[in-house]
Amino acid sequence: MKKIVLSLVFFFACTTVYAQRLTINIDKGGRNPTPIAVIPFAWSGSGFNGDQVAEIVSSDLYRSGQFKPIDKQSMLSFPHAESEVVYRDWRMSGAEYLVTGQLSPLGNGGFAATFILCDVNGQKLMFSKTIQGGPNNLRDIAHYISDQVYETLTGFRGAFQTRIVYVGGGVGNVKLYMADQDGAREQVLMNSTEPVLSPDWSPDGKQIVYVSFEGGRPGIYLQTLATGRRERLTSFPGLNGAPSFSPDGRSLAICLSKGGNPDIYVMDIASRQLRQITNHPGIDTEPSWTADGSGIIFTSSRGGKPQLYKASVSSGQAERITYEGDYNAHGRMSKDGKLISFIHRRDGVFHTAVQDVKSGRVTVLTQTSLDESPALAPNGRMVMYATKRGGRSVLSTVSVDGGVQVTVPVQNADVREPAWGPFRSQ
Amino acid sequence: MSIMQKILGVAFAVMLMAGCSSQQSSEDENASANGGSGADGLSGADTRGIGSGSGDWGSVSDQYGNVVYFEFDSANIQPASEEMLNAYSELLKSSGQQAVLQGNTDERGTREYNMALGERRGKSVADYLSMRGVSSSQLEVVSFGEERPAEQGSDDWAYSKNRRVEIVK
Repeated sequence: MKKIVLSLVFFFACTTVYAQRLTINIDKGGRNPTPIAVIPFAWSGSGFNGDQVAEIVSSDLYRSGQFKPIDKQSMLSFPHAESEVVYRDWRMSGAEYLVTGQLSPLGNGGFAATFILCDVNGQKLMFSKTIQGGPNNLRDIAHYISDQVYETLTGFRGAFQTRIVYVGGGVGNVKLYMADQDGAREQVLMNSTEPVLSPDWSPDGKQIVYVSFEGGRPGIYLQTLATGRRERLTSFPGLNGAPSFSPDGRSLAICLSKGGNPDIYVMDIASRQLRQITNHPGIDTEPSWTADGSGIIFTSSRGGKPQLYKASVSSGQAERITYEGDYNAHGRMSKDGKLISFIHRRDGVFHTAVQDVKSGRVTVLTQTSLDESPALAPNGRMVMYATKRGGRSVLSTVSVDGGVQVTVPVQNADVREPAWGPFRSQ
Repeated sequence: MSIMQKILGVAFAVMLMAGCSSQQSSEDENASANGGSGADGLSGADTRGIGSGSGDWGSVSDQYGNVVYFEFDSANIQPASEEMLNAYSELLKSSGQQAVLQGNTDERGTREYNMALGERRGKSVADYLSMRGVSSSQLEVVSFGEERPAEQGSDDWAYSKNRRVEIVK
């Protein structure tokens, strides 16, 4: 737990030397990503590695599906300031943008990173920024740089400084993990010999909630990340499942079958008071909140096969929201309310898909099968999901407009149930 | 009444046709683990003076296993499981013991939906046993969804072994 506290203590001191408010919307999407050169940073002093910073930034930008970092081997030079950039050479390399910078040590053991973004075709500096961090903040700084580049070029807030939680391990040896969104700095949050599933983050990123079968029966547990303190919120007869934090962090939507069959309930966390939202003899489960907190999206078998529905939190009135296909489940709405990610079965294969809320248009994002548990990044631009590769369950990411699918490199070889944490306040 | 007669008829036919050969491949492990966990492994059936088709838990699980299998996307009890369930119902009626019905699914589909499907299967077994006269207060359903597969692998054989309810003490 100390590690978590340390990384939270990490602070930013960022000065924008030159920042033009310029937004270039990349709508080519993942299928035609923008070539970008991320040049190994210069560095002096020990403990910081400029190559590593560039690798982390490249990897972040690549996984977004929006960018295609050009190969280090094809770079003719390694400029570290705009004055050293020969734009003509970079244009020939195919790069449309260029990121570079340098790291310099500070007296306190930390370091400062100065980094620039250049528009190769326009032959101009887009920004130059400086950020400082402690000795253990190299990865944080690299993700910060990724966020700045991504935001400037796409117009969407970057989500590279976020974290994920997920479940790993096989029957009898289950662990709940937390890591950076790229799978680095993995740490164990809890161990169990019994199943653990359905983690979700509180909107402030300080707590997680999940289902644990410790003692042989399911219960919903709340865990505070900084202290490791856990408390059991529910242990009703039957199902205690699928907890989802409300946008204001005060309530949980959960699935309970104490009334005889699975229905959706809302629990006020402070008082533990329950309110039943759905009451139907079919299966109602996998609740999650609409962006404004007024509705709950859930999976229901009330029409025969599982489909997504939306219920009003105040009235419980439900309407069906998916119509394409005979298996649509595990719906999650983006924070801007524009998209719903979910699992969609097509030709017997379970894919990760998104539905445009306004038009109802469904886009299948993956070519994998047996996809599960899609989790939207807080900026709504990427989905992390679990899928099978080589007989094992892995975490993978895909951009919401399709394109590149990348396996998240975590330590445990059998992982599932990703939950993408909120933006981290700065 | 006619449903009951039908069930008994099918069960009898299955008994005649299949003997006790069914479903002994993957659940042996579970059966022996459960048999070993109780103190009644060798106690015999005579102490309670119960009727034919019943016995102690160990001998019922030795003979029938403790796993009820299901078709894809279904919570319906198959005729092949009825003989076993009839034996368990006699056992539970005469002994008054508690049983936990652990529902499980294959890995296809989402985990929480499968949790609900596993519960359906457990309840389906509970309903069958209740219909045979077992008190519902003796039965508890716990679903593990797809979290505790009996067999690894993503093929039809593994799936067929994972869609199951385990009857445990």
